[in-house]
Amino acid sequence: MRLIEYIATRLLFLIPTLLGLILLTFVISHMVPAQPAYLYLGEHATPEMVADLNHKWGFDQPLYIQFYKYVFAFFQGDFGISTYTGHPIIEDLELYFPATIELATGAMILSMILGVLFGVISAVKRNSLIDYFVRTVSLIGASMPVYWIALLAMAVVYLRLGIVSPGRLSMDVAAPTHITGLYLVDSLLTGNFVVFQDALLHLVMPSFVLCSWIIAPIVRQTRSDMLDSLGQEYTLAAKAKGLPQRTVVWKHALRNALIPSVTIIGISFGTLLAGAVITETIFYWPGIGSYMLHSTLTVDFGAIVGGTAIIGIVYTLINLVVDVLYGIIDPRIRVG
Amino acid sequence: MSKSATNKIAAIAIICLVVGAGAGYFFGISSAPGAPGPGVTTATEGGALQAKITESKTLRVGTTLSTFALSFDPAMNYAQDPEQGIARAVYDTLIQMNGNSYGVYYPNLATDYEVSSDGLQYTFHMRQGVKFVSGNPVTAKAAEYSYWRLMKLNLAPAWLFTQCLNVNDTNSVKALDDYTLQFNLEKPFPPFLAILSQMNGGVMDPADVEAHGGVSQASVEYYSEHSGQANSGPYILDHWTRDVELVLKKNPNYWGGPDQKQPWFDTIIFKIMKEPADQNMLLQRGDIDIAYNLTPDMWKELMNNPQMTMDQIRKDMYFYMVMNVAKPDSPFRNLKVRQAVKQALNRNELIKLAHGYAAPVASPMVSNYLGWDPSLLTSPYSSYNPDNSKKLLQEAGYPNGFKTSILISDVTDTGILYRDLAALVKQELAAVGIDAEINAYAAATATKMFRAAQFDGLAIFSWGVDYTDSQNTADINWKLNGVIVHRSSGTTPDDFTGANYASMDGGQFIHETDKLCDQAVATTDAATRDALYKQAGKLDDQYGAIYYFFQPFGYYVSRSYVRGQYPPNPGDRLSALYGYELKNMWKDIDMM
Repeated sequence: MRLIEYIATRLLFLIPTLLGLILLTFVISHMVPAQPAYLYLGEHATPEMVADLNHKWGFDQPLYIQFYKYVFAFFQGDFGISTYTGHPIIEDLELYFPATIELATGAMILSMILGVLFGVISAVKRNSLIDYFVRTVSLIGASMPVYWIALLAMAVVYLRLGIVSPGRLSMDVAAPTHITGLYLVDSLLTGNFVVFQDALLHLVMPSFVLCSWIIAPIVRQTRSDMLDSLGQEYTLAAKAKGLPQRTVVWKHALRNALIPSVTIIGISFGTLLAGAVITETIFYWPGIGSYMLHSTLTVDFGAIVGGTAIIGIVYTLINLVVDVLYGIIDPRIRVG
Repeated sequence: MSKSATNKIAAIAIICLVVGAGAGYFFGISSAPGAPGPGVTTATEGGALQAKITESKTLRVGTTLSTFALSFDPAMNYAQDPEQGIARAVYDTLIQMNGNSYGVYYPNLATDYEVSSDGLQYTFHMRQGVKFVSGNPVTAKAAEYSYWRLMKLNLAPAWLFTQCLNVNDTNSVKALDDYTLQFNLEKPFPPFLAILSQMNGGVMDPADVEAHGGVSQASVEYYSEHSGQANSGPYILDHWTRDVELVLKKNPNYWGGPDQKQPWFDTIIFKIMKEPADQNMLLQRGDIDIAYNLTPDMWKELMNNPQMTMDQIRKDMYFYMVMNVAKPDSPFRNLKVRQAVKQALNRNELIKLAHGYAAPVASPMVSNYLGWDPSLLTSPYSSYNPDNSKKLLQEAGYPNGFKTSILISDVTDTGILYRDLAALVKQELAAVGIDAEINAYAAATATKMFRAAQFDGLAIFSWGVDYTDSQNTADINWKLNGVIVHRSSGTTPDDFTGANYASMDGGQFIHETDKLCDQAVATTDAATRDALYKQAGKLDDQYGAIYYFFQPFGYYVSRSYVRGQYPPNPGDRLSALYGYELKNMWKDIDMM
């Protein structure tokens, strides 16, 4: 099977996956014995007012009809109207999701660079002081709760040293014109380098915090595969040929050791998307995590299902990218 | 990218890596608040002064908005502090409450008003020459349109008006001429002025509203996040991006208000920060000027900091516990059990959850409201007395106590975690033999169960007043159709007051408090109303199925250069409901 066919097939599988995800989220969220109409109308709402609003929102219809209508509209790009914001949910997601994507991508890039780097160093300097140090630091990062690291980083980097404030931009820097919602991209597209610089500066600290959450498994995986790879015959052959240590490690051993790490990195990206809520709250980073948290508290059914579906789509696409990457990293692996 | 930015990024990277190791050291050092935030530029003295003046024209507030902050349309807004304060800086009302005294109002869009001797007719004389942002004049017809729009839309706050105005009678609200507005009430209703003075009484420009959909959901959606050109207050609601920020801009056409004073700030930015720790840090670094949601311990920490101005105010709300008497086999149907529960609880211990920053209450009439009765705090029926509690349980036929449950919402409210409060209550009830299981649910679920009286034993919630008149709280707790009464007794009052439950020891007292509430609302004499509500409070204390815990404080901290947030004597400021008077605030550049 050619790569293009493989990708098309995987994309087709996205439809049943999404349907299942929507069904699950839809049923679970509607099983909760809660009435968003009460929240919308306040303490003094009469039963008639509540019934009218439920009728308007379609909540008085049987669940399977609600689901059918929702799915029908969903695949036309209509996620419904948020009962919390009053906006089309798709517009809300366009507003909040890019912030999370930017944060998760920042954390991902840092995790990849640092995770692989530490993993390789750890393996090459096996059982040395530096190996113990790297493993201990990554273990500490994984063991400490994210909120604690986040508060700690804020207390030091911002409160004590005043280097950078929480949030996506400094208080006195205006957001760039909305094109993609990704401040780094939008500021570059509009040629606004002051905003780019400020946005990048603000991205570093939360990315580091989020990175600390997922870096340990990447370090461990890379280290263990590197150890395995360094003991293989082709590595010994490369060494015997007199190739420099740098070439042996980074070109021969690492390339073969990377595949399991890529899997971990891919899975971690989904984890970052879904789990960024705490980091977003502490770093005053209005992303999908904050949006879905509020949607859940206000029983905003459409937003809960829509947000989950978007995360699901991205997660599935990331998995696809990871699968395709296997072939690029290791040409012996061919899809089919 | 500049070299300094690259260096900064590298610095953060290194710092983040060693943050764990360095944290203990850093936390050991006393804080050095007040250092300017990043981005401060150097300038000549004259340039620095100009920069200060420019900086002083922007106020930055770190805050959360309440879950109920769904909209800033006066016809939909049904929120508390700080939303009320924000909205009142945008929409002018006919009258304004005097921040120092309940029941005293001063003119705003209306220069004066008359109330007929039977208390049914309110006539307002409107000020001439006031204009909306659109340039259209503010007239009685605009006010008439605004109030009818609110009632016809029939959204959350509509009941505030329809409880005393007949929505089917065009005479209920009518403009007699361009500058005279008349309300014809169905019944005497002294709290009407309090309702008109809060943001739901805001007057909108009919032309602008019609341009955005008129009396329709479309206009509500528009005005939820913008004020367009429909307002006449000192500020325009430029935008509200939920969970991000809310920005007010100075109204260039502002008429100056009754005191003919223009606001100082060109821009007020409310940064929506859910994490109190963020607000605390940004305040200390000077990146925000006011922190609105600090916890009691943060408040305590900043107390002696000369660069901060502390503001503590009792919130117009209280925490309470309801005993469900709806089921025929409920032990709480027995008066002795209800009194035993009240006497098992030590209010002075429970209040420690708020680190002392709360005032004990033994009635829904919180401090300074008509009917506030501090003597109930030492009442023999509801004061802490575990020995008598056990005796009462024995007399009621429960010598070994009984099992029950406590319904709570699994959230924090005004810094108080319901779980903590419920755990303490459970512990104190256990000491007299009552075994209470805590049932914690997500807010929306718990609220639904509570409203439908779908809980077997006890439920702990809080209540914030809808407007600053005792009638609001009194009716909820003491009228036969009061919503909290329903939560205790089922969805119809008969559950609590029917034939099997009609004695005074049972639910009959609600009939008595119901009458007292009616009498209190039929008179405008404050002393009479006060006495009637106190009488109702005593009956509730002796017979009622509700236990009142405490009234929490609000903790607001400003940088000391922020001025004007208080009335002349801060101690006199009664209500937190209305928030700060944003128009009167300014920054003292000598202190910046």
